[in-house]
Amino acid sequence: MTVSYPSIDEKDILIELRDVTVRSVTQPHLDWIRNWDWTIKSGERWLVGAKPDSGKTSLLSVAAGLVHAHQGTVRIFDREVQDLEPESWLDEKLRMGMVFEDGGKVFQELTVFENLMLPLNYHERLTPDERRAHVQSILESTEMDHIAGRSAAGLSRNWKQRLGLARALVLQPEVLFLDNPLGAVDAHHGLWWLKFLDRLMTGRWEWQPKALVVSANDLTPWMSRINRLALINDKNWVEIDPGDRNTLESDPLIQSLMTAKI
Amino acid sequence: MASQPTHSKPLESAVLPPANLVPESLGFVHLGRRIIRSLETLHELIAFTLITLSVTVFKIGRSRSVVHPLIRRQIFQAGIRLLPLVSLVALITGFIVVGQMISLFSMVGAGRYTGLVMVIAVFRELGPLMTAMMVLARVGTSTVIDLGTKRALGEVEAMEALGIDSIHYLVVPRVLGLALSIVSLTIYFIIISMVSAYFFVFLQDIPMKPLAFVNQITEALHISDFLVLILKSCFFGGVIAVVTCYEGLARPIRLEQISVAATRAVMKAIILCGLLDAVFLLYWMI
Repeated sequence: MTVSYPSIDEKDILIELRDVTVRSVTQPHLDWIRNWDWTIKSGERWLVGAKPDSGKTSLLSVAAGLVHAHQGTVRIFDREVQDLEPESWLDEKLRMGMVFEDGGKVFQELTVFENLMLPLNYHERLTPDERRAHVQSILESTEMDHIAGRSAAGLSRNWKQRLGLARALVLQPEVLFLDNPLGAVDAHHGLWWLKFLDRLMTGRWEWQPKALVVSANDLTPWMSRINRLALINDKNWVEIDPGDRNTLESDPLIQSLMTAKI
Repeated sequence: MASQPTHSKPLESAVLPPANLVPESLGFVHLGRRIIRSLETLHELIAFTLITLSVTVFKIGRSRSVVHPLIRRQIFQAGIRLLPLVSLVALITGFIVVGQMISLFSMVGAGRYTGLVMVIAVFRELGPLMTAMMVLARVGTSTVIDLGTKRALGEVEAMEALGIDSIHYLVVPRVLGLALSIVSLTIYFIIISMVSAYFFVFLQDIPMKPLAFVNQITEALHISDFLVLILKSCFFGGVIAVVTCYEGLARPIRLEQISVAATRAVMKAIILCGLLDAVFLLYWMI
């Protein structure tokens, strides 16, 4: 099934990386990628495919400004950020949302409700009543209102991952990064994710991000939902037209990353 | 075959340094590495302290609805919850250590020095140091474990992704909470020690009225004692908070490394509090 998303017509550049080198945080002598150029524009839905341990998380973290690039230029919302302190480009930072893999890195000692309230309270966005109403609406949309009072530490990985998504949506980011979101969820929750993202990206939710970036080890669930595709192959960034069936069918890496054949 | 032993001896002596030099030189290398590592850690700790100070000053009024409850919680955990322990240790200190000293002084006819002994022993030294050590044992270790777990599970990364300053959210409430708690607990410790010391004096039938006991202490006290007491306690609180937060938060950590980090933090905090105490001691000596 192909999901047809309405394209956001303006093609303004949201994130731009030029000649970037990304180095592993834990292994300082390991470069995940060198001379990397990438542009994320409004209306684009990217899928970044790679085998496990190829540095997808590091690449997404650099693009989202969470980790400094070892070399090169990172422009986020038309601002060079690679040498800036996080505080000095906070407004731009809050226009991006990140859902981490493997359980969403939720705040364990807080409840589900408190996890969602924290960013709003910290940045003093909206009035206290508006914050509660906004969080309640996100809890209902993500079907988590029945566990709002539960501690995040006691949730299963499925629910933690969903909580990670809800938390990223609280600040209504313009660019939403999803780092291997289905990697830690079962089939039932995986289906919910895909349906929810379809609803989010087709504008059937209260607000719609301008761009979506998904990284995945398994490309199958995403191929019909994206309009831009990139692979990390032997530390090289390869952009492929997702409509080019010949390449999709002949590329061995793509074939190895598909659980279902094209 | 006969030539082999004659060749092996010069070869051995050419490759290996004389036996008596090996342990010594290895010892120097080891010592050098330890010194360099210690200096690096000190440098990182100073940088972490300066960052914490600047965030405390520049963001004190920001995100009050989030940060102020955390400060209150820290005061509860490091202050109010420690009252029973501090009471017990203060009673023991006053009863056994100070009471005995006063009793001994009275026996040798030096009863007029009671106030001075109380001020030097309890006000200047035992009060701040023992309180700090109790807070370190009860709260310092749990701080390293708490922050280390947050760091290892990626919560700190998640905070940064949401634009939440981890120093502001995790470290500043602990520094302020611990400093305030240690100052309050130290004053509480001193009061309980004095009451307990007088109780010992009373039990020993030493002819000293309560008013005379209090008078001796107030006469021995100067305004600088109060200032130094508050300053010292604040610094101890700050040192414990910064060192434990640094060990838990400043570097990437895995879950299995947290217990080692907790031990390291306790050792560093004890050493730094000791050094700080020595600096204050210099003030009194000069």
